[in-house]
Amino acid sequence: MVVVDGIGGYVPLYRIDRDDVAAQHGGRGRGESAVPARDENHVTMASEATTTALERSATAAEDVAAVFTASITDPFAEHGIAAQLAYRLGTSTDVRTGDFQGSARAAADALVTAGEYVRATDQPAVVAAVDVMPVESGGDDEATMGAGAGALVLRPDRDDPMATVDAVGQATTGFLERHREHGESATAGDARFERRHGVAPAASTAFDRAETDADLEYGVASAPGFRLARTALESIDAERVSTFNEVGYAGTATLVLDLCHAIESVDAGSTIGAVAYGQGGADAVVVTVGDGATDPDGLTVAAQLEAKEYVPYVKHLEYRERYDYQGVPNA
Amino acid sequence: MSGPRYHRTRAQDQRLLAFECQSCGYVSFPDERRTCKRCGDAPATFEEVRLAERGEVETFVVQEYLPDDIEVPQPLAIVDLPQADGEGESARVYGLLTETELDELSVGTEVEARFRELFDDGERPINSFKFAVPREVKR
Amino acid sequence: MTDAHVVGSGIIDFGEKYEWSFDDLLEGAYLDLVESVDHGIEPTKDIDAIWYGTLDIANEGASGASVAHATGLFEKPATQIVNACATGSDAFRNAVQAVKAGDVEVALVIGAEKMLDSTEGLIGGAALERLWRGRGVTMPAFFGMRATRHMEQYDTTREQIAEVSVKNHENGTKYPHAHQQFECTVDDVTESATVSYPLNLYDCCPVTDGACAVLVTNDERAREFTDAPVRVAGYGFSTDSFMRGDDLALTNFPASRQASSMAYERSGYGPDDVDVAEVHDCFSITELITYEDLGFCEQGEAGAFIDDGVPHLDGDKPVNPSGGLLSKGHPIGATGVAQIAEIFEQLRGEAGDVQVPDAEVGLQHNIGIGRNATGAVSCVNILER
Ligand SMILES: [Zn+2]
Repeated sequence: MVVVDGIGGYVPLYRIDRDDVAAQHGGRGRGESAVPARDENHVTMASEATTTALERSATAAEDVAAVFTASITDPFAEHGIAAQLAYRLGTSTDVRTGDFQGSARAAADALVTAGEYVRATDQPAVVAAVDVMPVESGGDDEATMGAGAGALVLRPDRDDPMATVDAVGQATTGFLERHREHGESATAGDARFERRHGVAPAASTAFDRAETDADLEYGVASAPGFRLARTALESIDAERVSTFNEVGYAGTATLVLDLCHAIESVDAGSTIGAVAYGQGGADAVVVTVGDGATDPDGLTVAAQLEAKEYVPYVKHLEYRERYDYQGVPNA
Repeated sequence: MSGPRYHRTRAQDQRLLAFECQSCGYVSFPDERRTCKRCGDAPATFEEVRLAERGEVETFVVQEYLPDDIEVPQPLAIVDLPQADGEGESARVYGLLTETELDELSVGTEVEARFRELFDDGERPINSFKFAVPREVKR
Repeated sequence: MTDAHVVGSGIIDFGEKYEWSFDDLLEGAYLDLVESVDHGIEPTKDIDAIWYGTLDIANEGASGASVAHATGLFEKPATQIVNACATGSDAFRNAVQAVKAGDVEVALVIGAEKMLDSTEGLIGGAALERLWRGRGVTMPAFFGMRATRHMEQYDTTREQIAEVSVKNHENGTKYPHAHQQFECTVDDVTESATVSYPLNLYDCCPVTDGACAVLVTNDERAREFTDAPVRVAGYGFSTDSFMRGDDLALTNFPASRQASSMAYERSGYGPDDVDVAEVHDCFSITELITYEDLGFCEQGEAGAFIDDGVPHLDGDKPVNPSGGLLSKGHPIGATGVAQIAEIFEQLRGEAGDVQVPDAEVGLQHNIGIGRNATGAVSCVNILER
């Protein structure tokens, strides 16, 4: 068995009102998207989510056997997130690390791999996903690109876990339409083609392969747009839980962030079907919420959605870019 | 660039590791010394302790003029950080505040340690702790 | 052991001296001293050693060779003293110790700073790439934190802090070498632009070029230069840091208490004996808390002390008759030396429009912080007629 021992979502304080983005280019927008502060980066945001997850868990940092992180927006080709996160958390130096990237499925890959690792070693593992989506002023997806992080602590067993992982399934179809270069916004391609030939078959196959007897009451979907995410949940009859209208698309982090939000929000005993669609296919995970998720310590995702400050349009552009420090070197 | 500088203090900078003088109880942070700043013991015996990620503002200012590298207004405080296990003395540190404004601050305000980017070392982010009023205050 | 005596001083008008190089500043103060020694001086013959104070903000004056270069005083020991904003005072203290020890008969103490040639400025240093210490800490912030805590702990008011600046600017208009020659009101101070809450623009000293020199000698030779030497009765120097955990360091400067205790003990005088004082007022709050650190009033009573008019020019214990750093300016290496020069004039009755009647004992106090920005160095010298 694999249980979810701790969960933590992180939504930056700052938001851009999508109406303010639309107003720059003529038009209207609904909802808002999360903007990181200038002093946040992938490692700090992953740290925020993971420390919340560990504090809620029964697992001590030094007992964590693996740290798997996922991001599709890490600006560094060499630098990594997992090992830095592991050090910050205080894990043992014999911890296994992995940085998953290259597809919006990365968080699902990290999560499923962590589950396999827990089963194989009988030791706890941490999964964290973090993204800061780049935007271009005037780009089609400028208003809905967000930022955030989510983390899970998985372990073989625990009394009253926050959730149990019931089943996983994947569909690697090789389908490719949307793509994106480092630091740039995506080339989305033909949205209808992607929904019909990319999302729908991959997501439904992934759910089919996640074998469970339970009724999927709630659905979580990670996909780079509201309609794509809705399509990903079409094959299951579930109530959608999403941060899309408050956070926007937070890259591969959306899967873990929204899953945390769902586990925190729904009643114990409910079953959640989560699907991540990305380049090459889709992955589905089914979890059942446990009593341990009732009234969790620390800030819930819902509380972070409420605790917010709006930034003006220019800051939304500026804060998503790495700042170019001038510095005064230590003599 | 000075990578070694940040390497040697990474346990303090990223995990709030501090050092308690076994002669007088003084908590040294971030300095890992063999001499004690308070009692002057030399050589002094220190034991490693962890600081809590929550502390109290002892005094503060809000700066309006700083180099571009630092956004203004920039509150700066002296913060007392107790030990994580609740034992012994607090460490007294400088804290740059983030996501915190003048009207949220007074002497005695509780602040949380927040892991943030302080600057970079030739593009490589240097992360350590700033402080902020608890996020729930923002609701 | 001999006493040390101040027997001459020289100063240039402080200000924005764009036409003057760093060497010009040093030379100006030196020439003013040479020309004003009562009985005259033959510098190359009489001066045995030089203590030279500068932070070398302008990057032109590192090492004792620089002061020789600017004054022509070669072939002698010349020592550069660097001790943050207390540099000038510490140069003086070192000269006094050498004279008292009998190793030097006549010492030139000279301090100068060319502040306006610095490209980094005093704010730029706050981008220092160092965690926990110094980054994001400007001097207005360092001192402003004492103001925040003092107001909270002792109900000190914003207006009481502002009154220091009002008083010193008024004095400055009567002191010929002061940089800023204008008066201001409490409202001017409290309504000026915020620099670092709770401190505003008029709570801060200006950026000023300047230089000053004094001549120090022993018992035997003092009357060779003047009939009215001023004896150095005591001195003290100490350091402390808020990082040591003492709550007093959140409102005040323990280093100033330690340095003044040493100076009082050496001199045999106490705070009540001081007739006039020149103290460090880089910011208004600095002078206010210094009243307490020097024992001029009880801890927490500085607000009432200034409300009662005690440190005003016509009060019982005039502080900063020269206008202090707030009005006169703070050319760092020169600052402490200029305070000594003012006490020298006060005790000789030569202080003109800012003369404190019948001043017999004068105290000079100067603190420094530096980039470490966690504590202070403090120097106190006591002089008597
Ligand atoms: Zn000790």
